[in-house]
Amino acid sequence: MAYSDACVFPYPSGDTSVRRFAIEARYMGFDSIVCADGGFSGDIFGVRVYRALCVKAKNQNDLVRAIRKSGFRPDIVLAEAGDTSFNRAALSTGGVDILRGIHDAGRRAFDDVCARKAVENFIAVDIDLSAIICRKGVSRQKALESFAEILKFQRKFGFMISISSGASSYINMRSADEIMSICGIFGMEKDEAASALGSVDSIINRQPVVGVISE
Amino acid sequence: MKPLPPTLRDKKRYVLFRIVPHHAIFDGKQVYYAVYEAISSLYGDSGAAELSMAVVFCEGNYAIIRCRRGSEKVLITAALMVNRIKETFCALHPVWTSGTIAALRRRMPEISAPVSERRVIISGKGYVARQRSQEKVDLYKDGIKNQENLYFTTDDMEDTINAANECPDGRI
Repeated sequence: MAYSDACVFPYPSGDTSVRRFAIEARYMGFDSIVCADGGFSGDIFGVRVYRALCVKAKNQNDLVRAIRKSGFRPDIVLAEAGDTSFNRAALSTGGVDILRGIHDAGRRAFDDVCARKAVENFIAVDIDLSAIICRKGVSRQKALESFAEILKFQRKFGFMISISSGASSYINMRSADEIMSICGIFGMEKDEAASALGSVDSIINRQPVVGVISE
Repeated sequence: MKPLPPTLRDKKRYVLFRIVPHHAIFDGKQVYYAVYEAISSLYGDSGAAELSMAVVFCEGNYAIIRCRRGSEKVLITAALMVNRIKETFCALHPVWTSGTIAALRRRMPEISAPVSERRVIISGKGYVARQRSQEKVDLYKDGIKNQENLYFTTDDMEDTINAANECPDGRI
């Protein structure tokens, strides 16, 4: 299974260039990385780099507009989670691949309806480890609680989970094994974490929902 | 208090950690306080007491941390939460676990020779570029230490220099 870091922020958003991220990702046991906000896509030092569009929108119309008006063709579209109605709409909107930032969206932002929509539309829900690594106290506790809830939904409904470091510097990246250890804090098993690390590969290689079988 | 006889003492395990980035050099005390804070914030005071953690060695970019046998995973998970020591952004990556310090010392690479330095200007800001390996280049901003660093590769540096040559004022 190809392990992937589902979201990093390279230079100029962060302090590490895409190539440097690729080198470090190779040392850390990743086969691919998803670079938010542009950059380029392709193979660098044996690591597949995917170009992603990270969208933060207030409502569905803004989300669709932002996806359409992006200046480049992204491999993956990441949508920042909002309230329940926005999340339901985002999970129903075509073009979104990963819903991220769910830990900051509030306690009731993700419910069983969202979980069903994520399964139907083959959209992954992201677990951003920077919320655990870079935060402390109440903020970290809320993030852990949120991730544990998402994990419960995932076990019941079976939607995809992706794991990202959310790193803007290679210092904040963690290796695949380290990520599995960290995910153990909120109750994720090793095989679940391994499956989640491979979800970007599944998103890229998914079959189209509608296709022409024969004429 | 009278020390425990050897038969009653807990078995220990030693974990070798690599500290990144390269320029982050700390003493044992600083590493101890950072890791102890991470353990106590994640597992509480009782968890920290159960670990009986101690930094036994810290040199260059490597640190050896001792813990009670069976609690290595707890120590490693907590150490992964360290993201800054003394206002310097850094991370501890576990390298190896062993029952002896000597075995871990064998795993530590020898300290490499001093790296070459050169000055570059990016976006009008002056940086000192240090070649860390064949591919990696770390850029340190002039002025206050650890103020703003950039982590590039040799290819990025070539692109940067080419862009500077194309730019009329020599700035990127």
